[in-house]
Amino acid sequence: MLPGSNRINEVYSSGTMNTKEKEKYIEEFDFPFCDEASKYEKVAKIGQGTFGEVFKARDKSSHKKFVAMKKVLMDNEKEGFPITALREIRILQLLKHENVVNLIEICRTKATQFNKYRSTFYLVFDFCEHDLAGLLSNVNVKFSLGEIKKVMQQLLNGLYYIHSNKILHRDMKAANVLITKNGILKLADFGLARAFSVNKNGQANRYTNRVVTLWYRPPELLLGDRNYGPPVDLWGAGCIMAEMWTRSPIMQGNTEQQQLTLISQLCGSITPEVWPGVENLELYNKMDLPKGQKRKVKERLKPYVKDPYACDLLDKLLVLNPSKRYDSDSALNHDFFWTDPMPCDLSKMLAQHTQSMFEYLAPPRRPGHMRVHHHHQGGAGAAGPTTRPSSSMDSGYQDRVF
Amino acid sequence: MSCVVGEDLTMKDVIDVMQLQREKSKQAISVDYREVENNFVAVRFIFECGIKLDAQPLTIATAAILYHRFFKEADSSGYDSYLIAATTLYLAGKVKDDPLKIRDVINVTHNTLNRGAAPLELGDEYWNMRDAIVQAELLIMRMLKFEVTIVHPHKFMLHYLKSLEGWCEKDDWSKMPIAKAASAFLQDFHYDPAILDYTPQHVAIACINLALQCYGGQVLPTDEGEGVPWYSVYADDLQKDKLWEIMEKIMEVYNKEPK
Repeated sequence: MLPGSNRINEVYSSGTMNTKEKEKYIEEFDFPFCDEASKYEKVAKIGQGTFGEVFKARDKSSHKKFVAMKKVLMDNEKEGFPITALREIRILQLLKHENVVNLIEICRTKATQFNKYRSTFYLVFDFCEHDLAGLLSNVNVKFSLGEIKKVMQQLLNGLYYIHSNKILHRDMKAANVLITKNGILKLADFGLARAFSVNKNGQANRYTNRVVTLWYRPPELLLGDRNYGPPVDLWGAGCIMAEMWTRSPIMQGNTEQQQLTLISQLCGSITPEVWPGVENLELYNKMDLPKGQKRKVKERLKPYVKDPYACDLLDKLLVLNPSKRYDSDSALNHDFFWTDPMPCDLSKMLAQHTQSMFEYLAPPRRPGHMRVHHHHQGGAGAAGPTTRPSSSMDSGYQDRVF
Repeated sequence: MSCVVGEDLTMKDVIDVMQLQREKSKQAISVDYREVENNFVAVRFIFECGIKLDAQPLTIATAAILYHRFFKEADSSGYDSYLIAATTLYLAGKVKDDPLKIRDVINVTHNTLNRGAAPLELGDEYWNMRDAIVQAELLIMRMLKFEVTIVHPHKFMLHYLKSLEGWCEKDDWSKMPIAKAASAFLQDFHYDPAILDYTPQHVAIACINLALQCYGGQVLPTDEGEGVPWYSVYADDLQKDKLWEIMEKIMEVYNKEPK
């Protein structure tokens, strides 16, 4: 009998075990399909966020095999297993692709008196050596143009796959892009992901717009759109692509208002002329939208991004109007990926770096985000290190369920 | 191809399950769940509570499937089937993004088990039940390897029915409530763990074929398609024997219903 059942049985009939016996029974209960977390041995903590902790761990049964273990935060145990974690698990079970992080299994700790007979759960993933934010923050890691193409091609391939499976990632950022030592890119952290549907019977979806880390958040979300789709991830892809050259996030706003201002300064004023229908978004009249701004995507990125094809693709991704923004398929067909130098393998370059690089372990990146009158790369960063906003600043950040 | 009402069929070929059902439903059956405890009644409990909770049909179907899958792995004598039933409903709400409040689940299940009882006070009994459901949810997920996504026959059935409708003469189709009957069979088949033994596609076809049989409807093949059954375009791996086996299983459900 299970712990709970026993109690409910007491309500309906009478229990058969005393407390001691029950505790022993619970401690020794064997779950044939859910292994104990102790089969892995934690080596290091490699991530921390409001989502919980991530550890690197060694598989005790084969010493060379490493995994990443992400703890499931049971913040509201009175509601049982968090619906957000369940959603993440179901999405990860659905997605099996070379460019999506692979979920191996879900593990649990033994329930003992030390954890008040509450098990902890871990999602166990294949281990990836680096994340893109960590690599970009290390000045010794240099990407050639062919290597940047390979990164972006894999990233867009991953997005193409998840979008064709009707999943939105909703938290694209360099720190959520993992790269193995063999140069294979994996999209990770589906903690904010959800399934989407095309509007049926003209009925608009009502998704939360409190998603995506501020610096990578597209204009439609900042303006309160609740009927969004795959383009939200493509905006993030554009931000990440630019970051391959600038080495730090290109628009580092501190508030949603400031983020919109930065976007307008780069992509031009947000108006119904360039984006029909924008005037109907909930926050269109509530936010202060700079007027008379010219679009300067190519102009401002040119100092960093010498390749004209790269500039052109960036210009197609960082488009204000989500319906005009390139989707992953069009992006993959862009000349950028089909002209010399062709995308090339990353493993050789990565072989020079034997240390794992994760954003969590790296020193804070230089704050030198692209400023309007900022001409040379890595120029004197005036401000101190910026704290990167986390993807979920408060619980209201995720879909409210209850 | 065309679909004709089978005037040439004699009544003895017609399995009138619907008639049987109609007779039975004349007497409203109110089950005293405390009197009997078996899987059939527990699934009935899931449906009754699910409807009272205003859960989506697919949420209730998910709960029923999770219930059967759990008891495929676990020994039914060890667990309170109503606790597991209540928990699968609660879990199904999370799985289908059709969240049910745990307090509502407790109130509804408690009142359905103890008909006429006053709502539970926020006391020990309530908190014990809440704890029981939370713990049972974790147990169920561990037993099911956290694989709680279910591919339902419903979407296949809808797709098959849609294309059959276009295939048939409008008048013939509207004479028979095929879609309604097939949906009823599909829902009722969820009472039987046998539903786990067949692919969702095959279950969908069996429900439609049983409905066609009941009403004497027939999907006639064209000249080119002589001897090719209608469902072969949807599932080329379904043999006639298998199809009839599923149809029989569906019909058996009606014998298990408490008198």
